[in-house]
Amino acid sequence: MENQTTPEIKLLSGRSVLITYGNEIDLQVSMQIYHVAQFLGRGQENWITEIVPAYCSLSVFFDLSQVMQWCGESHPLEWVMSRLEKLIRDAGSSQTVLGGRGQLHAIPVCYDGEDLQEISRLKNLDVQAIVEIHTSRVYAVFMIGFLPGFAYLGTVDERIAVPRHTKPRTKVSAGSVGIAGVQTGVYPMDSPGGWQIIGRTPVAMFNPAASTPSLLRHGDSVRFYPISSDQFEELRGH
Amino acid sequence: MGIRFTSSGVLTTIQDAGRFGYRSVGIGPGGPMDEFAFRCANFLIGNPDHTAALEFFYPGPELVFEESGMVSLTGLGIEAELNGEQIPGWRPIAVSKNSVLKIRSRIGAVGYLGVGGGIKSEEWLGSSSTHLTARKGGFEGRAIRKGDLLEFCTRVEVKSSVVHRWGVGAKQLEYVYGSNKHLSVLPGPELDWIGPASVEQFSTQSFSILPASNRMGYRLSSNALPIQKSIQLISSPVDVGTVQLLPDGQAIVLMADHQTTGGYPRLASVAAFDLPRLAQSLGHREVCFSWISMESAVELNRIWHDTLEALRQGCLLNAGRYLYQ
Repeated sequence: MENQTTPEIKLLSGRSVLITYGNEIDLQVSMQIYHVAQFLGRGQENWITEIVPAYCSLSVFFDLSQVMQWCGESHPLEWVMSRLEKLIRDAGSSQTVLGGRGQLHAIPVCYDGEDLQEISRLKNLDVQAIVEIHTSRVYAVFMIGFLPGFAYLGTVDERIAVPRHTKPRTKVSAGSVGIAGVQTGVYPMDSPGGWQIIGRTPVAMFNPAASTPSLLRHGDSVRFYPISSDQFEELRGH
Repeated sequence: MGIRFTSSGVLTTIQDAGRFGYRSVGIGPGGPMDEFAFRCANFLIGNPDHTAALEFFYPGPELVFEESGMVSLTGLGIEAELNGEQIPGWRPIAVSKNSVLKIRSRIGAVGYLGVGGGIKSEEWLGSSSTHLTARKGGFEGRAIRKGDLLEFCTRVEVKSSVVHRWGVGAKQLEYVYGSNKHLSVLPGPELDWIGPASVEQFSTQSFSILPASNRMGYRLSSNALPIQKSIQLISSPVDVGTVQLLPDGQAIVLMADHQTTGGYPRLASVAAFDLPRLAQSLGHREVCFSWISMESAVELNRIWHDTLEALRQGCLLNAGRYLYQ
């Protein structure tokens, strides 16, 4: 891949490393992180136990006893950091994006959220315009966190970017679609939450019975499309 | 048939070693707050390592054995009353049918009840640990309530209740819990966001643990640590033991049920071998942070694992010799 930036590599804990690419929300950086995560996760480094990608950083968890088998005379934690430095360089010179770019999901939304009127007033836009702006972009999954299966999607058009509530609601229902700054996302389960709610989707973002319980993964993309409340009920029935 | 809860305690859940491999989809490992006490609970009754056990915060639950069983009680300062008689923790206990167990503690915050052969539980994504947010795993994905019945996986015949004479010794308990309030920490990625004076303050002052703490995190209270950088951190991965600095200058240590990512500066990381002592300090003991080098982190970790392994071997030997005859 071109235009690689060199990340900072630091310990996150005694069994995990943090790889950081600055401190900004940027699609190029996100794609680079996706690429590196795929490269590190090929399964050739059996000392790596988990890879957690985020907005502009990713963490690599390792098994110290496995590292001991690899590191020879080197200090195990220093070995992990220098090994990761090398692997990230190798990932940079590897042309293929392993495993493609993730999936594109089309997610239906009934735009009748309880904060729509307030956003309309704040942003001086009618509800129809808010829906058009929200559905006009393909969003990238920058990170999954906060709750199981909660995907941070972005970036949202500045015209509808509203800050989160200063006082979070004690309960936001599963399927609620919200906006917080330039981020948008769907609550996968009932939860306290501070995002401004614009609508709801009948699609299950989190299915605990599945072996991969989160519908979305880091590197996937999402496009929202509007549905009526009747269509919402119909789709939810299935 | 199994154990019936006549009182649930404040927070009683089923935990095994944890649920690994799902951090990238927002599911953290969970697992025991005090790994040492949890693992000893299994060692003592000859269970395979990481078998699901019952974890409880104090005041603990009260329960009735609707069938006999081989159990263990572990946790700093744990005390219990079995059929009205005071019994010590950290030993195997053969319990006859209809026995009543009341769990208490003078000090400490969390304890474990291990059951020989294990307790029946719901497995979710490879683990029986209770995920309270997803409402999955353990017992119906929730904390134990009064009236619940937990079933045993195997039958163990016991004629009369006996507390065995061997167990985890005072020396090992002193090594893990001691009276030392210093927790070993490695520097965190954003430590330089606070100035050198605050770094100094961080490692010299004492922190009390606020009652608002839970399985997700322990909230600390001290003289506020000022942040020098005014930028906001974009959410990024965290780990159990991560010490975050909140906007009001107070710190929080992430515990077993932490979220997988966070947006606060990460000042430090408490070493895994000091997390049991931290977990048990809630409610009665202050803590301090002491920087350790990467060299000592690895060396102390090795000693920790050797200690656990020696305990495991010793208990296995005794369990084979004296239990389940």
